[in-house]
Amino acid sequence: MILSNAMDVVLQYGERRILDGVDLSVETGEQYAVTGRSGSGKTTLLLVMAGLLPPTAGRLTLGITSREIAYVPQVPSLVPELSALDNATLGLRFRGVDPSAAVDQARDALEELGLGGATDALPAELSGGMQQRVAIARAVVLAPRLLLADEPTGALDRAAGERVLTMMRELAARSETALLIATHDVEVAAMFPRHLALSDGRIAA
Amino acid sequence: MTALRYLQAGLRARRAEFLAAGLAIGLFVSFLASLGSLVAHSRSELTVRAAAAAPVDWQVQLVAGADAAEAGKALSAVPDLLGQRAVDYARVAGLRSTSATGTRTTGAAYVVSLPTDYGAFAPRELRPLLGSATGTLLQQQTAANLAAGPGSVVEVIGVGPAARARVDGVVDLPAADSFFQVVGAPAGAGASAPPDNVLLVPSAVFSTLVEGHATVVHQLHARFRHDRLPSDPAAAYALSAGRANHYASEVAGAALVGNDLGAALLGARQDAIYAQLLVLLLGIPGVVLAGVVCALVVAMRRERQTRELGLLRLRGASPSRSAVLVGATAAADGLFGGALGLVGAAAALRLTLGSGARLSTAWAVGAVVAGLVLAALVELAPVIRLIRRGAPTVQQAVAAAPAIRLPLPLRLGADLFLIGTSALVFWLTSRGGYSVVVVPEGIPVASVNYAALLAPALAWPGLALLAWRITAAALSRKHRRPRTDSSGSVPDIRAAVVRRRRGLVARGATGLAVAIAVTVSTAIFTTTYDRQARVDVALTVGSDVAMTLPPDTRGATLDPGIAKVPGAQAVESMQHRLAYVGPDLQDLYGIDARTIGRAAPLQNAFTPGSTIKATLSRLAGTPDGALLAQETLHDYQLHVGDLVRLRLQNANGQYVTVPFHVAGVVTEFATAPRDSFVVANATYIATATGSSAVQTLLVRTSDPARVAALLRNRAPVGATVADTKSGGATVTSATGLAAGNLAGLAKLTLGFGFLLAVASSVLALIVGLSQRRRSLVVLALLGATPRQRAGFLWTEARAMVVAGLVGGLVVGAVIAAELVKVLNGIFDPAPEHPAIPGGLLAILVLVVLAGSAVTTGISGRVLGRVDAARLREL
Repeated sequence: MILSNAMDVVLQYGERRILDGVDLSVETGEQYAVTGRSGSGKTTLLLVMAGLLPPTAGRLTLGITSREIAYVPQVPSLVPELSALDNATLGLRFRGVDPSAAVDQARDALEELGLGGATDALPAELSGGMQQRVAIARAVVLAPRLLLADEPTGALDRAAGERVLTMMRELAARSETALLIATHDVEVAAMFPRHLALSDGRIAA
Repeated sequence: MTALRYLQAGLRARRAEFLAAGLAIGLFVSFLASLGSLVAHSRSELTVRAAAAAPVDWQVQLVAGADAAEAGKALSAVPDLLGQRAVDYARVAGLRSTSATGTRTTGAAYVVSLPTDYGAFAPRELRPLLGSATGTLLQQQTAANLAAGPGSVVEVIGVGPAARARVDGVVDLPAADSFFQVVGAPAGAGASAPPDNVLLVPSAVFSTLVEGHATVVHQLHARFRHDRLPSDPAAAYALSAGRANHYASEVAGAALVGNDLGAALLGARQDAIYAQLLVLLLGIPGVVLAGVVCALVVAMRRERQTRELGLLRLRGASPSRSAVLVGATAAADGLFGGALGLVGAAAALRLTLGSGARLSTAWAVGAVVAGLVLAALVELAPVIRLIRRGAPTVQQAVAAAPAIRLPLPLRLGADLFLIGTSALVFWLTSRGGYSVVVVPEGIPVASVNYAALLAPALAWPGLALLAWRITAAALSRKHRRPRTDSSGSVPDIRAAVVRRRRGLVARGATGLAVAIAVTVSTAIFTTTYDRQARVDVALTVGSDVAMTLPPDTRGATLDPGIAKVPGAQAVESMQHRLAYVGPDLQDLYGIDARTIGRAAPLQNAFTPGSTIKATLSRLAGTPDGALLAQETLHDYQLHVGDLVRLRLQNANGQYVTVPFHVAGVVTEFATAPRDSFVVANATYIATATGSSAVQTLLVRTSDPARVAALLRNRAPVGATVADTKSGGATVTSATGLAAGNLAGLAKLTLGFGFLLAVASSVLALIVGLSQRRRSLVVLALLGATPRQRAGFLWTEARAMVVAGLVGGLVVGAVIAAELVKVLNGIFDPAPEHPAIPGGLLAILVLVVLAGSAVTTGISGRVLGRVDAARLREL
């Protein structure tokens, strides 16, 4: 099933074209790595594929609802005043999930990502990698059908980055969630079965 | 040039930011300039008004054998003289008048020679009551003693049958004390009582009445230009006293100067000091608050300036170059705000003092400079600090949660220390008969008990910090998770966020509380003053409306029935007689102690050491009881329960001795003068004198002007009708001069206070809510609806505004109570408790709530927007 389908998508800020005729289709269970240098349009492509940014030209078709899409920003962007557990429950709670059930699910997700001992910690008390894992837990706990992550290992050392990516890929595979990440690191991209290279807003390979 | 280009680009790109900074600085400059101008204006006004209270400025008394022409010539040479008139008087054995009821004789009397235009020259000396205002005039009391009026013939006793004059009119001598003063009496000799009997005649008649039969005192009454006096009453006094001394030396001791102008200016020193204290206690907190609000608004640029600074440094700008660029922005902000502020100050002054008010140049320049300095400090100081320390990384910045630790002063217990010290100072200074301003008689230097000002000065920061502590403590409570939350409103999560942001919320709430407290304390203080001023007017008039006959009128009485007009809610009769207490002639009021309160204003302050209810109850239970003035009890060594014999006129006009028993002390009473008087039971006076004639009717009504107009149509001949509406214009209390200053100050502080309260609430919310922008985008990514996202803002806004409002109302009320006590001397009569202006406070609360709601609503819409730029910032 096609979850998100971009056809000849153009995205322009003023005179500048960030995306210039990009075609990309993501189906259930697929795992993509979008690579490219800084400023090549990776983040923008993820935002477009998530349905968060409407393209200036071309067409984006979503085969799922916005509630079935989860996006993990480059900087973890946790709510700084809430504990790791509360941050992880937020998405569920907004959907009206019973508070105690939301806490149980979030706690499970955090434990699975190795944060069982840090559920009460505030973001400022966590390392960059731990913050990123909380953000991932917050996304996966929503059981999305499409998970998009922007430079999920950008703030981590190589070993920690590999661990996080492995966890993400396993979680995605287990729930048949499609995974689309943006990275500038070719070694990270190599861990993914499908690649897409961007250069100046165009697909290079 | 680079700075100019940077400035131009900044102004083009960020007009709203520039406007907000300009408005904030403008508010500060406007408040400071208008307050300073008000102070300058009211100081000069104070001198002019005080000087105007002197009926004549100088009474130059010639010593025996002095050359009047020479003295007059020397007086003409005194600078700023407006005019001089010769006034002579002589003491005679008495006056006699014969009428259909018989012949009446007075004791010693004064015959005064006045020029025909004296009434116009010194209008405060003569108040026409009956008949002509010129010619031969009888003083009111003398007319009563002689049962004489216009047309009666009065004879000067001991001169001969030719010494007669036909009375043209009856007048009151409102300034008899100063008119008959002993010129040249040593300082501290005490005032002499004015004569009971006075006959005023034209110069031509005077010689025929007393020439060769009595010692004539020759005086020259002089008036000067008051608009050229120094604005400070003490300086004006020094000038007047110096000129009087110079004149005395010019005439080589041939004349003594009774400096009434100097005495009036000396009396105004207290008002001048109270006016300064009012500015200090009511105005300065507002200016400080305006400065803080201004600093906060300008500081909102800090985040952007920090980013720009980083870019500038990245592109090679040196630290000094960066500081110059930011300094140019600060200067532009300051100048724009200064210009706006001056326009605002001129408008505020016009609204406060009328079209004649002018902006003081010195204060205007000073305020603009203060605005520039403030802008420079707020914008440059953090930039310089950042240049030295460097900015945090993005990762650190987004994860950082607001500090929840109380600020150092609170951790050290500064609030409790300040409040405790304030309470101690308050108790020490306010116990007993304390006065913040001490004005010794005859000494041009007044002293101020500045220690008393410490109480409110310490209470302000102490209470503000306490509000911070309580707010933070109240917000630190943990909330349980709800069992169900199908709507996804996440109340526990929102509460947890506010709990974590309690330091920030408490800070905002404290700022709001202080802003509201400035307005509340001014409003309560002003309302209390107004209430007491109304009581003062009602006391002088007697009630809302009063119909009066001159005292001791025999054969004439007021029927309470005539006062029963539509709108009259209660009518009380009162006798007004004159009674001798020893040699002193005092006013005696006969009342029904059980019912007088239905129409007369009564306050516990009238009866020191007891309540007015208990005192009147004691009087009602003592048929021959009398309430006497504290001064009378002291002077005659009397105590409650003692027998006191008074001499009253009976129905035939003869003085008879009537025994009374002292039933209590009274300091103020309806229609009573400010000095000594007596209050007794009307039925006892009627029995003892054989006359139940009523001289005063007190009428309580909610429409004094209309009821007074109705009563004027029904008033018998000789009766006058006064009401509180028209009476207010003529009554001046002991600190009446300060009232004008307070009115202007109150308008300014209340006006700016309202603006600041709203600005503070809006600002506190904007500062707090703007920090949530990133979080709101994150919440949107997690699927939160706009309503769910706005819920976070509303929770925080509610906590801040409710805490600010409650804190502000409480702090304002406490400060007002302290101010009322500290400035007790400005009230006449002293208030029992502060008056709460419920309507005004309700409007303030509503305005703050409305401003906060609009701000939060708009912030929710603006901050909750999820667009490309914000998404890319994540």
